[in-house]
Amino acid sequence: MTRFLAAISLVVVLAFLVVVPSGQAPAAGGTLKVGMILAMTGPGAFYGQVMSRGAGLAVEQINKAGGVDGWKLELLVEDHKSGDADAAVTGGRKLLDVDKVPVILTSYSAPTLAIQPLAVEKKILLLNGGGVGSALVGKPALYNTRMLSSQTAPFIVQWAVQKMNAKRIATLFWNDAAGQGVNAAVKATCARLGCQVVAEEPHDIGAKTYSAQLARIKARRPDVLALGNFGDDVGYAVNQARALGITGPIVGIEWTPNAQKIGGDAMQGYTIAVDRFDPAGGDQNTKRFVEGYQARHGGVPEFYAANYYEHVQHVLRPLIQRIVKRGGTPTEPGALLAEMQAALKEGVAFESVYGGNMQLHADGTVSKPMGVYIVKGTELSLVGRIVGGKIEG
Amino acid sequence: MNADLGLAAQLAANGLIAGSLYALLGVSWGLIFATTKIFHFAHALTLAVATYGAVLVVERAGLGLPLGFVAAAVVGCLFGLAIEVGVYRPLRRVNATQLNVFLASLGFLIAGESVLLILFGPEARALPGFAVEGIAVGPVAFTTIEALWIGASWALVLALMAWLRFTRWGRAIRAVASNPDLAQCVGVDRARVFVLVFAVGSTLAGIGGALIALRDTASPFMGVQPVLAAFIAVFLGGIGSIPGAIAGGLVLGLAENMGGLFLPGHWQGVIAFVVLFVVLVVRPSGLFGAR
Repeated sequence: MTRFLAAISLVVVLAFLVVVPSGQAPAAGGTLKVGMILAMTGPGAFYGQVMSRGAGLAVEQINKAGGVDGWKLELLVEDHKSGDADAAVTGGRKLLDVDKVPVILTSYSAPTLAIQPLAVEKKILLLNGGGVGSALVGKPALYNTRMLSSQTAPFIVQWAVQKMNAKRIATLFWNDAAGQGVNAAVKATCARLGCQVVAEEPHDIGAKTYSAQLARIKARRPDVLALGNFGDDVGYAVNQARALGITGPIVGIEWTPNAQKIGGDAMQGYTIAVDRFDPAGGDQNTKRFVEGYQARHGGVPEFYAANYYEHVQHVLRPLIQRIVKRGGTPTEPGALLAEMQAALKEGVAFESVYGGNMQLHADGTVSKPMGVYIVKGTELSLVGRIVGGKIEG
Repeated sequence: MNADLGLAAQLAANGLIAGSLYALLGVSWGLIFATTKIFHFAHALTLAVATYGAVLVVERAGLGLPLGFVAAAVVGCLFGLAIEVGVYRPLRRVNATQLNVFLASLGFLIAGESVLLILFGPEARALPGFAVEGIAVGPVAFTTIEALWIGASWALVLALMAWLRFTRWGRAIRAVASNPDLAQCVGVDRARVFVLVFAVGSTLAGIGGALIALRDTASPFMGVQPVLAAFIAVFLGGIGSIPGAIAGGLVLGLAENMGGLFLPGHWQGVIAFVVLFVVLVVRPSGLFGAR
């Protein structure tokens, strides 16, 4: 019996020594939960799908490579039902109170603004790669990795005035913070450049029919129609504007391959000013993302997928590395947010899949390479680069 | 031409285009509601499922647009029948209240949309194969697709009216809609009539869905907005009246669009409900309903 007890004691002691080697700290790492609040249902479900695919791919790649300094990532996705702020808050509370996530990736302006106070309260890092409303600027805890309407829309007006000789501009825009932001930016720039906004027509997100709005716009005889809508809505709007006999140039701040498919031939000549993701261009980061996406999901990724891939692969990963390097724990409340603030103070630039680096700013905006593009055939063609606030070309 | 007159003409044309489709969907839903008294919210799902049937036939199988429309009609018909036989009939057997049936219909719609989302993904799917051309008549512009909307909607609506008026089964449907107990007393099989109205109404919804997809593409949630317009058309026109549903659809389409003369275009949805409210206050039985 004594021998038996001694043997058991020896096994227990050995097991203890194996699990916790003497003189060493417990192994670092664990699981870091990454929350997402996206449009998983409703008219914007397509965006939720590609955004979650982008982030999911980055998580897969990171975990396959052993995690970030021992930290494995886990993605938790909640649904804001294509822009419903209440649904976003419900999803946000679940992620924050039940799942205890230290970071949330969001989309759309209204849901992002709705959960931003919760993020501040819980000291959570909030990353937005979809919403473009100008109200998203200067919000504590919120960092936007997509250029906002207040940054891009002025250039499209500048292009319309300088290259298209526009004096009368009409706007058709989403009736939300993002679309209204575009409309406000168009009006402000027009006032500065001496053109006139002759019609302002909002529409619901995901509306597929704009007959009344476009008829009113046509009656005002604008030189140029400026779109402040996004995703598939761009294709529907351009198509219906042409069908209704609006023959002047149409400009905007968004183009997607799917919108191109929907708009078809009517998209010819549609001109945009954007921070454009080019799946065929860029560097090793772009290649790694595009090839990984194609292998996992088939098809070329949209920029919406690119933005959320970037969030995980090129923003969260380096932040986690920095925290671990200085001996911190990235899952601790406030750790990721504080690290982001410290990184920006140091002027750290994050890598990007747009080619080169992206520069995040303390006010939550981002700078990425920008240009003016025109649809030729079924593709975008660069017609002007935007450098230092001016269009060249 | 004066810009305001041109705008009014364009808005009237837009109203006629939208109103024609609302009329078609109004009669498709109104026929079912008037006869069975089921608030068939899942009609929106029938429309979407039938449209995906057309997309599969045209896009995947490459069988051409005419067969796509046939597929939409057949899939719509069968799906509508399946809902009646598989969902509503068992509920009637256990004496479910109208509210129970409505909630079942709503639940079936939400679940069905999610299944479509899983099966086909959220992206918009085009229904190709129609030559889209612009047509300009004075200040009014529209497309060949919208001309097809008007032509096909009116052809189907008039054919349905003739069928209801001049055929034995049409008269049986009208009898059940008018007085189900009396109709049963004179030998009309109510269960068969229910099956028939679901078949006919769902076929029309399927064709309506394919017409919509020609211009606006197909997506899992595409059915709700047009079927909501159909509800309003039916209540505007008067429950139980096919001419009422047609008139309701036209009034709704014209009101939504002509409202653009005075209000921004995004007020269309509000205008629809204001018109419904006013009509129901002034004439609760609807424009063509029995007082």
